[in-house]
Amino acid sequence: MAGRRSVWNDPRVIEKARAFVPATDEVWRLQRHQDRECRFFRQKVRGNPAPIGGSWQGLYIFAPDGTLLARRNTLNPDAAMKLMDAGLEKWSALGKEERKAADPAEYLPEHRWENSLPSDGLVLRSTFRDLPEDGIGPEGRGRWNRDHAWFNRDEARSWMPEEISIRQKHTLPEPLALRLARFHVVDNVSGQEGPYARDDIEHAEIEIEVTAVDGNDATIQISGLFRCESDGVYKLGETDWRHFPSRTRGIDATLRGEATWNIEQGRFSAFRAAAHGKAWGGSGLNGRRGVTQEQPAAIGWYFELVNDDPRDRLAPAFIDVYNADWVIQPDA
Amino acid sequence: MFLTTTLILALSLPTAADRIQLDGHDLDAWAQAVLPGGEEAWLTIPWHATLHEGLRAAGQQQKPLLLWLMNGHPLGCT
Repeated sequence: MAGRRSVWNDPRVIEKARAFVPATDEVWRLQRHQDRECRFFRQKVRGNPAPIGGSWQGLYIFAPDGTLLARRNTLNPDAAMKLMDAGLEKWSALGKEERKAADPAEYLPEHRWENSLPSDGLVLRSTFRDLPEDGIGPEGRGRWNRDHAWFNRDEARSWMPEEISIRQKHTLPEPLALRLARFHVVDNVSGQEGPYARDDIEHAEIEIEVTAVDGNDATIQISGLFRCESDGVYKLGETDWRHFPSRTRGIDATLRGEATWNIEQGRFSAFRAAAHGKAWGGSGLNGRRGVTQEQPAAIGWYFELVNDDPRDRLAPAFIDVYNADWVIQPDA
Repeated sequence: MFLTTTLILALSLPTAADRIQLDGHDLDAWAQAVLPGGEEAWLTIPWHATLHEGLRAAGQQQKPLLLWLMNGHPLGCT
């Protein structure tokens, strides 16, 4: 995640990237899963579609048919510039036939979690950041990271009381409050942490009140409390997360938000919420170090409705263990 | 006197229905504190969010594909 700033914020790298089609993806799946897109990747980078262990993070330059032109894992912008120059040099040496596109039948995915995007439901972009110990202020901005939270159409409706009228109060159904607690109000600021198990959640509650109804627009206020504590014992069964170190950790956070529900369309036209709390412990596998119950990290989470940016179609980090039966599984 | 002042202050303050507050800050302040700003220039790069979308665009545009891979998606939770 340091590469976001060290490499990709360098103006020379941004300018040089114009000579390419820039793309990003998640490498764990590409290395290990049996999907056609993953097998294509492995065939092209290693000459063999079998799964690859270790970590193949880094920068790759491919011709449109998938021929690997250059590859390197670096956090150094100078090294990234050299890699791009080397890739462009190889590209310029290719003949017309060698520049042809790959047949999509070779690489189009059979399954991606993004296929389950609930575009008629509620899709939130969540951003989370380390904050100064005493709250937000002008003291500077810490590390940050990003994820998405998904609710399908029925789940989006269940954020609202059955009868939508002013001063109606409502409690978000427990499974949805648990979804936020287990998968979203999590300390992923310094890199991915594991999801929480149901048994790790001591408290997850969201209260909602309709504060205004104006024609088709119903405004709600949202209040939430989350308390999670893991004893460090992995409890999620056979998932990719079992390979993640499980250690003691916890979260204590408060959430406040507001949203506008369009009654006629049956969907949110606006939604934003912030959470603030403390996190301690962690897997040790990401960049988080030295946060204890005595000296926790202060974190702010901000949830907002996505727009049409294709990058907001990305699936939640913990989608493979989401408590949602409408998510299409790889072997479905 | 104290009670009167407190009452006047309470009546003149915005109600919860007017402005959501979390730890003494409204949601605009939280957005400003948490969301990335202009310092994150890498977000201005027109990234395709998957290998297959990038590969298809590379074929269409006849450009090489520059692919950035990480554990966890670089544009999501990495």
